[in-house]
Amino acid sequence: MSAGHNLAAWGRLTLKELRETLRDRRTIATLILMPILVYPLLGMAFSKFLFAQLDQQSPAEYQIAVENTKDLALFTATYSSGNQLLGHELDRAHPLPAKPGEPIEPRLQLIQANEMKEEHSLEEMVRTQMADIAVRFPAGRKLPLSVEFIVRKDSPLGREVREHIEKRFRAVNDDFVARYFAAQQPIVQLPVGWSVATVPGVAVPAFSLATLVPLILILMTVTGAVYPAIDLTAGERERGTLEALMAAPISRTRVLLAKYAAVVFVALMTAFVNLGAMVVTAFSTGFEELLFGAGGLSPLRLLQVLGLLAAFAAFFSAVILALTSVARSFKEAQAYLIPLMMLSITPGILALLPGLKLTLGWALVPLANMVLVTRDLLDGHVSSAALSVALIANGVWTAVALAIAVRIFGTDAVLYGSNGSWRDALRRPEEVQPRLRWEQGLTALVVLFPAFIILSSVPGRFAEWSISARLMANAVVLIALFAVWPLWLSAYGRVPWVSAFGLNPPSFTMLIAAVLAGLSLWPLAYEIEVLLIAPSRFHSLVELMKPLKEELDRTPFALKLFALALCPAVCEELFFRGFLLKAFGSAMRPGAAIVLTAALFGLFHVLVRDALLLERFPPTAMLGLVLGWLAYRSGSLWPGVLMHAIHNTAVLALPKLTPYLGSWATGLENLVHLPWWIPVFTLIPLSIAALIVTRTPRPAVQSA
Amino acid sequence: MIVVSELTKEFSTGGQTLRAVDGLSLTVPAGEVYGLLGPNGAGKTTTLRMILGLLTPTAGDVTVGGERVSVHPDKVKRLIGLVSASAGLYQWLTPRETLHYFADLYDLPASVKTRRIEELTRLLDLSRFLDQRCATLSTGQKQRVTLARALMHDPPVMLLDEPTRGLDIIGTHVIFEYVAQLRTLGKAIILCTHRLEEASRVCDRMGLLNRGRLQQEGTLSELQAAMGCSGLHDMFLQLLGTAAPALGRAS
Repeated sequence: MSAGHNLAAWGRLTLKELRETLRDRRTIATLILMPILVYPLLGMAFSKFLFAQLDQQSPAEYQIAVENTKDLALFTATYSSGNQLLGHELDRAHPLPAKPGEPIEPRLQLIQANEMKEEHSLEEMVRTQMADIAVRFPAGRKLPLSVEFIVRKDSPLGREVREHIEKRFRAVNDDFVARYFAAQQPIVQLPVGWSVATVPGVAVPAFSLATLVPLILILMTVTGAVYPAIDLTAGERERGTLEALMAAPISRTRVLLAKYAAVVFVALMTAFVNLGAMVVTAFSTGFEELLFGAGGLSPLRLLQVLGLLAAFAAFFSAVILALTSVARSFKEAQAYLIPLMMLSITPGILALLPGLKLTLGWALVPLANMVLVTRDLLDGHVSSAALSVALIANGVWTAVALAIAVRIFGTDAVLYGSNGSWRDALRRPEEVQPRLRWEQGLTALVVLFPAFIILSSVPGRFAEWSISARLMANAVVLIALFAVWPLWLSAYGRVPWVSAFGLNPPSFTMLIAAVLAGLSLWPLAYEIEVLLIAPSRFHSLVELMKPLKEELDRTPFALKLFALALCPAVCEELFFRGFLLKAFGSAMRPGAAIVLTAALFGLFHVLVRDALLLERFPPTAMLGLVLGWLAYRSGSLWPGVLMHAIHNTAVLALPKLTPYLGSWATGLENLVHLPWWIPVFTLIPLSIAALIVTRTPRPAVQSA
Repeated sequence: MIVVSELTKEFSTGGQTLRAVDGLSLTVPAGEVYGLLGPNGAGKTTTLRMILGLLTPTAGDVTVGGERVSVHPDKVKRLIGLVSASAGLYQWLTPRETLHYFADLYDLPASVKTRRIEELTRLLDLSRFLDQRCATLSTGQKQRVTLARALMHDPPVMLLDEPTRGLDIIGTHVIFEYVAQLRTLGKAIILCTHRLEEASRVCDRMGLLNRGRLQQEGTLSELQAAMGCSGLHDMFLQLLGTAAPALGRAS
């Protein structure tokens, strides 16, 4: 069949999905009515808020910087002339409080730059908020007066002060014009002319409204995709049309791609309407500069923002489809989407943090990358490299989500899966079960995740405890959560521990491979982590850990070995490569189960007490992949336990070796990276280990 | 046309294994209506889903028109039309749009598509509501659209799962009329139903299924001889091991 024919057929399928979606009033309500109603309301609320803020802070005092006495005199003369013409009195040195009943007039605080203790340029004074505005007279007293206002970009107060002064200067010009008219003389030139120069406000990071715009647009775009995605997947199942669809000789990929195109189309329409409503609201309320940066929103920038929203709509539609494809009803799909929406807000909010830059790491994080790129685009300083990386990452995430959706959509489990309650899933079986089920893995995780966050932070809260006591308490938490809990769960589920955890005796060769890998993986893990940390963060982490390191140095090595190396090795292996790998392995391919458990293993290592150490994810997930592969190939938990224990011991013993290493490579203590020969050298035992694991045949009987 | 061999399906729920279909074997040649009868949970629908390739059997296989479902599921799907009581319609589409959509799913050429819609509109009397939204149709009209949808690609095999559920007497009669008509067109049909009287009239042969096992199979007279009962109703109750209550007999 030709590509054209396939495309036409796909187009017809998409058309049906669109027809079905767009005829539904609920879609139209989300698509058109919501933005039309929400943005004007938001605009009104926002302007009220902004004016309330300005009322609170502005009338009291305007801080105006000038360069020197000459400029001060020029400004005062021109300003007071304008003020008098407008019927106001200026009292520069001792501003009087406003009399009751009179309109509140701001007082001026004039700052002379050359009289300050430290020398500052006018631009610097405005940028660092030492002044709300600066006024410069580049041509001195020469008439007509040429005035340059220097204001901070996106500063509402700066704009207000500028408008206040401009009003006075305009009054001078108007008076001049009136007098010339009266004298019937031709006007050659107005006495005062002015221009505006802006400076970025980066020195003192502050919350910028332009940052909020992308998040609002993105969230509104998501709302457009949600309803059609649920309706075209879970809705099909609920209405009973999915069975007829699956009975047709058409690939699931083709059907799902048609649905995907329809969802993306609706999401894009929503983005378009939202952006339109936002632009109209911004222009009608006069906030276009505040919302869209200094230059407002040019047609080109509008197109660029729309392009980014399209990229985001493509990604999020795929994610929602993957999730709703699992659901068997509208209700179930909504239950899945609520956590997703909450999760999506998190990176979006993170991206609002002042001073947060679009680094390579952030460009890879879905949602956050699009929020940051749109923010930088509106600010007018998006880097093309970051934009490219963010778009490529977005494309990759989209493809991954779509692949997952295709795998799930219309499968037996979704078509005819059990509608039983959790009670059924958790009921204790009457007979011994041969293997764990994925529901048991999920149950273990659901309980363990919050328990881990709460309990693991407890020992750290007791600062008066000795480090030994805290280490022991940590070990107890680890044993309770990662060993006792899964052991109890499998006993409750009547799954023998041997099959639930893979406690089979390992082959000798696999143990050799585990020793080699355990000894040689740490340089690789270390280098991955170091590569991902910015040098400044690396040093701040070192500083942060210094007190802990000093305390640990005084702790007996045997205790450290138990609490930080052996105990985590046994407990974590029991849970991740034992219980979870076997449970997830019952519902998916071994490769997928290994990747999933490795990702979870990495995630748990990111959570350190009340901090998030994101840079720990890649190296620990990599270790998780190796350990998962070892457990799968060996059919036993023990090689993984051995490898994990040796790896932890090596990391623990490293500080003791540092002085010796220092004599081999001068100044190692001060180096961030290891000398090149260490990781290269460790590749040899690592390759041998990989060869052993690959060559050793898998045991015939595998329980997962 | 349809050959089912030693078909078995097990489901795992809450740590228990349930055998829904247990070593089922049957054959349906072209031009025959085979009634698969049994109480709720007997395994009828699961069997149909395995024949269609929507469920993977735990053991056994199905051959339709010489093609094995496990090997060529898409070829088998092209040979089958499914009418199911649980199947719904797209509420926002009209019957005409629904038929066009299914024609696209089966990759029918435009000329065939138009001709088939005309034929089915005539055969199932759809003209009055062909351009009305499906949400506004009556149960009987919806069932006719479902039947037309299943016949759109003119399949030689029809699987009918409770096609008269929710229909009144006239609606039921109309559907069975169509089933009889389909037989004359040479289609092999498996009909799962609770309407035992209608089934005895329209089915050439019947299989009595209970707890996933085929208990009895044959024509009505063969079943009568084998089970010593005159009516299907009594056979059914005997099959379940229940004495026929008077009320049940009357109903």
